[in-house]
Amino acid sequence: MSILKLTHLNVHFPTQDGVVKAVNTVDLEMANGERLGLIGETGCGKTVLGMSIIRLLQLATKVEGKIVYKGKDLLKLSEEEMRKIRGKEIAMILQNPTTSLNPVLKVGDQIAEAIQLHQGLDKRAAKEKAIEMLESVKISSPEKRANEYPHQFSGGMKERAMIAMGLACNPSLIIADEPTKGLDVTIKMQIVKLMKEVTKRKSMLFITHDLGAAAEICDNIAVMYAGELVEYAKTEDIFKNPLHPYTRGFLNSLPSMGLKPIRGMSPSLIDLPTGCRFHPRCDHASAKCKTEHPEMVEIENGNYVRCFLYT
Amino acid sequence: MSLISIMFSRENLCNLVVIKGTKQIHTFFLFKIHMNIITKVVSYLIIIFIILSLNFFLPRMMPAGPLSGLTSSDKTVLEQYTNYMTNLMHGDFGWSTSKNAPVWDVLMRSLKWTLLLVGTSTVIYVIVGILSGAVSAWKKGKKTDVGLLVLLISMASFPPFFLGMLFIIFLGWKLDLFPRFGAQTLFIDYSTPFGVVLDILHHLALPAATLTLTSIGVIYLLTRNSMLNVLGEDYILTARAKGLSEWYIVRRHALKNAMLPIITLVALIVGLVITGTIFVETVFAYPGVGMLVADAISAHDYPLLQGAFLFIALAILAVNFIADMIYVHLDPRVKQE
Repeated sequence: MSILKLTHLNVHFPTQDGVVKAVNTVDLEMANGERLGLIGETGCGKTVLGMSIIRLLQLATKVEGKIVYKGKDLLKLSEEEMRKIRGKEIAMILQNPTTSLNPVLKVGDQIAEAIQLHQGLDKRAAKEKAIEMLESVKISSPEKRANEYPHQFSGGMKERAMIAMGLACNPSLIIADEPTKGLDVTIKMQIVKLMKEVTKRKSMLFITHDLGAAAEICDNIAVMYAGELVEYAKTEDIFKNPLHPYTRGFLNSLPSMGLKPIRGMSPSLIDLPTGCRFHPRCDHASAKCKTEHPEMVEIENGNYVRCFLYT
Repeated sequence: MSLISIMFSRENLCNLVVIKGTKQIHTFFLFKIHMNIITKVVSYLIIIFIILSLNFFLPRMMPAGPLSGLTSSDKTVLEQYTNYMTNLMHGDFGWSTSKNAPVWDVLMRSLKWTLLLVGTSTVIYVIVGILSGAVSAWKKGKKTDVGLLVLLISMASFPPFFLGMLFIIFLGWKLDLFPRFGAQTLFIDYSTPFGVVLDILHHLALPAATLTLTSIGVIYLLTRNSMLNVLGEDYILTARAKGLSEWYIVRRHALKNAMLPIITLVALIVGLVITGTIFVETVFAYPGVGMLVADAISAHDYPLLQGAFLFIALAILAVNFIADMIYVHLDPRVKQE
């Protein structure tokens, strides 16, 4: 049974320079208990996709399509109904823990307030639960830490606190936006291990540009380029046999794979290329790629790719 | 007058310069973190010393010179200065030539009225200013916001004495709803203390309203701007992601952060309002320190003027000190040291 199903999702922002087409006709389905990695470069629209699910984008944003969570179309809910889902049913772990924690409130209280709101506990019980949550993300002496402020936490600990905050109300779906961003390598490894452990048997959309982290945690991986999905496959398949030229380029650009960057720059989301969005940077581009837009096609047992090389 | 208050709000002016970015504010206050209590007390003592010295020299630079009015004119300036300082240490503020009484006694009689006037209006304009600013930022671009903006900014553009005169003409004279001068009705025996209080409040209403309405706009605008900045921060998004209601987020997550850059500015504004009472008290013939200053200037009563200046300067310093304390209480990053 699917927990989340996106159908023809479009997210466009009107700006002074033109309409930013951040997400374009994305179709995506997540099974209950699945951990899905959403991978792409900075500015490809993956954060916007995550935020649109929980409806945290500015009011002026145009979101079209369907976001069906457990049979309910989230886009049709009122703001009031949506608030009851945020934090309780669907939790989002935002990127940049340094700026995402309120500097003037105690970390424990910031975790407790969601528990108090959604689980109807009183202040004291909520605070105790918050301390438990800090303990579950392996923060030492949690009673003391709960009464400290974010500036007294290290970067890795802030990330742990963010994770504890997201998991506090035992949500069915977690959207984690780049939880390993800006951490040094050893801390990153610890956070990845922790994420893997705490999200066992939970559904998670793991947004990242860190392929290693995604490989460690996720069952399936969706690759996003210029606001659309270009490949969807099981994690092991995507590493063994990447299909889309962009996915291959992405893998080759890793330090462990020879550090060969993809030529050119990722396109502006205001002025998207015609035809295949990747053709100006693709080594296999033909005349057809410049004019026609490829569709997602199934290659084998649930692996999809958007490329004329496979049609 | 306002020159003095601004000079002694020097610290606030520094803050005013860096108000543009909250990040800069925080780096500015890093410097504050290292100031422990002792250096803070010492710096306040130095400031008080400078105030006293300026308070001595400024009246002596005025045209028509005070020397003609003072009996000690045969002494040199330095002698007068040491005399003045020693006397102050002994609690001797000098002799008011126009009231023919000790300056201290004259000031004490007026001080309670000014405290009542400034205190009442400050409590109202600070609280209402901050709340309306917060609501305005929360409802940005909507009718509530635009309405508050137009109303409060146009109020703030009235000079206090002009608004005061309008009040006297329309509410005091034409409609005869409020007394037109003084702090209480003279030569009337009230049977109950309640009657006295009512009479005092009746007299207080117009001057306090004048001071409040003309001061509210600045606090409102500062809060609104600071709040708008804070509402764009990442931690507000985190709060929304938890499913908290918008008003709860404004109240608990945004307001405290938005207050940080405002607090020291509020102290500056309170300083300006204290000097502003000179006009309001004069217009309403309200017998406070402000009117005393006006009287002393026209009567060339320099000892009284010096005494009044000293009181006003110390009051502003006290407000600054309170602001410092509140800041430390609100921002855990400063409290830690």
